[in-house]
Amino acid sequence: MTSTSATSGTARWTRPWPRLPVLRVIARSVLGAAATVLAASFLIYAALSLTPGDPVDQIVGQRATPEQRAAARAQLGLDEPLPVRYVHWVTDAVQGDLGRSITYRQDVTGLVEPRIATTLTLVALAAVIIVVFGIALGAFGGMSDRWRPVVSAFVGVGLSVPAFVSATVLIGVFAVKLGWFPTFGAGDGFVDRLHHLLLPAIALSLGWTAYVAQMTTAAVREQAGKDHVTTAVGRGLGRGLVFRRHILRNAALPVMTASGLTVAGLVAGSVIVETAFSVDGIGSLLMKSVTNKDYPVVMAISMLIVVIFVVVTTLLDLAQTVLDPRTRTTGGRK
Amino acid sequence: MTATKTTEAEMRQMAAAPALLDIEHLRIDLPGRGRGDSMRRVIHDVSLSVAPGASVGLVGESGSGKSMTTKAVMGLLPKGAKVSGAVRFRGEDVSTYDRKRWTAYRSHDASMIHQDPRSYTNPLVRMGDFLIESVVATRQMTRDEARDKACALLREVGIADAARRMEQYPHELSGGLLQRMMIVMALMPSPSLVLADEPTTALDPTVQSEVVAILSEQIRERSVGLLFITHDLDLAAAINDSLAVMYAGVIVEKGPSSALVAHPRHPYTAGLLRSRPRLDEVEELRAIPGRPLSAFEAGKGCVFASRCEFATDRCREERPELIEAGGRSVACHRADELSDVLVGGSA
Repeated sequence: MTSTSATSGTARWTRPWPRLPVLRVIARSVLGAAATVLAASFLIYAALSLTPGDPVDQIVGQRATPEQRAAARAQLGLDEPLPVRYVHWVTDAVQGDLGRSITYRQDVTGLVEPRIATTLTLVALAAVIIVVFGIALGAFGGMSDRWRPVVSAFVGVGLSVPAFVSATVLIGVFAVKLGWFPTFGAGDGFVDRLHHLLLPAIALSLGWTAYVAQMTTAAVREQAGKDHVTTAVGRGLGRGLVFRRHILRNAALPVMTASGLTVAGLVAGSVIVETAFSVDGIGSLLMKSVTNKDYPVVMAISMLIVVIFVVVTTLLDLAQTVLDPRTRTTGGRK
Repeated sequence: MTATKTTEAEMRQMAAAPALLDIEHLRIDLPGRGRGDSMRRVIHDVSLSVAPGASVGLVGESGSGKSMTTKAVMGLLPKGAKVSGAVRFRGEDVSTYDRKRWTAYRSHDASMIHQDPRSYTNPLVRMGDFLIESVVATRQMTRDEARDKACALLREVGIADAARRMEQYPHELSGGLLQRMMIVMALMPSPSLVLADEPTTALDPTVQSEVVAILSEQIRERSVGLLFITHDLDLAAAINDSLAVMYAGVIVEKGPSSALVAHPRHPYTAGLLRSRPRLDEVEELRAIPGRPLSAFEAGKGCVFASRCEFATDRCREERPELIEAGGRSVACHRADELSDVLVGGSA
């Protein structure tokens, strides 16, 4: 503790460390996250093995003899019961081995790794667009009666247009007609990659931006009507300060949750956009692998999405604890 | 005209001692909740003044427009409110204030203590930051000066471990402690006027008297002008020099506290005095018949006519003006005839 002089007011005022048991909170969230990932992996694994269609068909063809099928099945390890196969998969996955792709005849890690950078760039770009424009639009909509109809019109359009439609329109206008952007591929090098991925990122972020804008508008309006804002205004605080410290800061909690979950869902959302823009990333790989019943790849990518989701929600939980003092007093009351 | 008589009397009073706060024939209409609703009148006619260092109690039931009066003084009326009449601070009409003057007025000249400290404090801001934010943002003090002053004030209102309290968040403090924080908040810029809007209503009865005592002591010590809003006539009489009794958006009676309580001149004041429980005698509590009226429900006559046992046809037809005589003001057609009938209580 840094402030020992509780009685002498003139002593230099230093802020003590937050009193929450930081390590315990973090340990608890990490354990919870790990448990969630494990449970999700079992559910996905089980669900994939229950889906109709046999990956063996992909390898040996429709007209193979039963003997050939059995051999292929044994080679893939599919002759063992589900729990045994699952335990094998988990043991390998923990050691970094995600198995071999059935169609590409290549390690799954080798397939996924080079595509991660592309998809992450796309997702990061979309996330920036969503957070910046979503919150800015929402703040305008929440604070200004004049802007509110404009924002709600955008929200209506943004939420109702599906990503594949906006992708088609964007390609038609900006890539084909105006020729400002390439129509496909992910590009090489950082600048070229941004150039290639900007249009897909816009298509990917449109609906989510509208969603975040709507959440922000609601949160800002709610906070602006609170009594404590009256106090702040009545004390002569400037509009900017009232907005930043007493409206936006309090509205940040729901907005952060909404944006965080949105960003976590972007990897899954990249499936459609990457396919539409022929970007060779995780999303389009997932699409192809599902069609080919390439289960190891589907499993690996699904798990990647799950991990990203869990990491983001865990970080959100921790951020919530940091931002809202009321959630900290779980141990001792008052 | 009786109206001019009142104004002239008030003008003379103003000339004698320039009022700190002077509210003159304030009338407020608020837009209705739904779209297309007509305007609702929340205040018909409020005139009162607070001299420098004096304390005035504004008493009335809920819905009588007390809070709206303070909101008008602080410029916090909801959007679309229509105001006529004048609110003057040191002779200057606040409706002529520009944004800069409003900032100076709210951050330095006048402070407000709200009803429910819990909802009027930001749950995410530490008490220390909350106390100093206005004076620091308006550059009246540096952070360190403000912290020192806050600590000193906290100790004066009986909060011993000031440094620790400043680290806490509102949810970690009890209601009484939080309201004492609000008193400190109001005193931080050394204002010349403090408005207290039912500062003890949200507190436990045991804490109420303590907080009121602290507030009135601090105000007196600093000779700050106080407008104290409450529904508790006894409480108001105990801590204020003078009282104004409000009913349905109209001030019905004004006068020095002790005189007003001892000899009420308006039937409503007399009714209020009669309807409070007494500790020393066992008697039946006589409530005022009927229910309290809101300002917009009042007809053209006296606002209290529908519940008044002395009401005549004239009372129902014509609204009485607030007429001053001998340091007292009353808005009642029959004030003179009733002066011997109405019984007060001991202050």
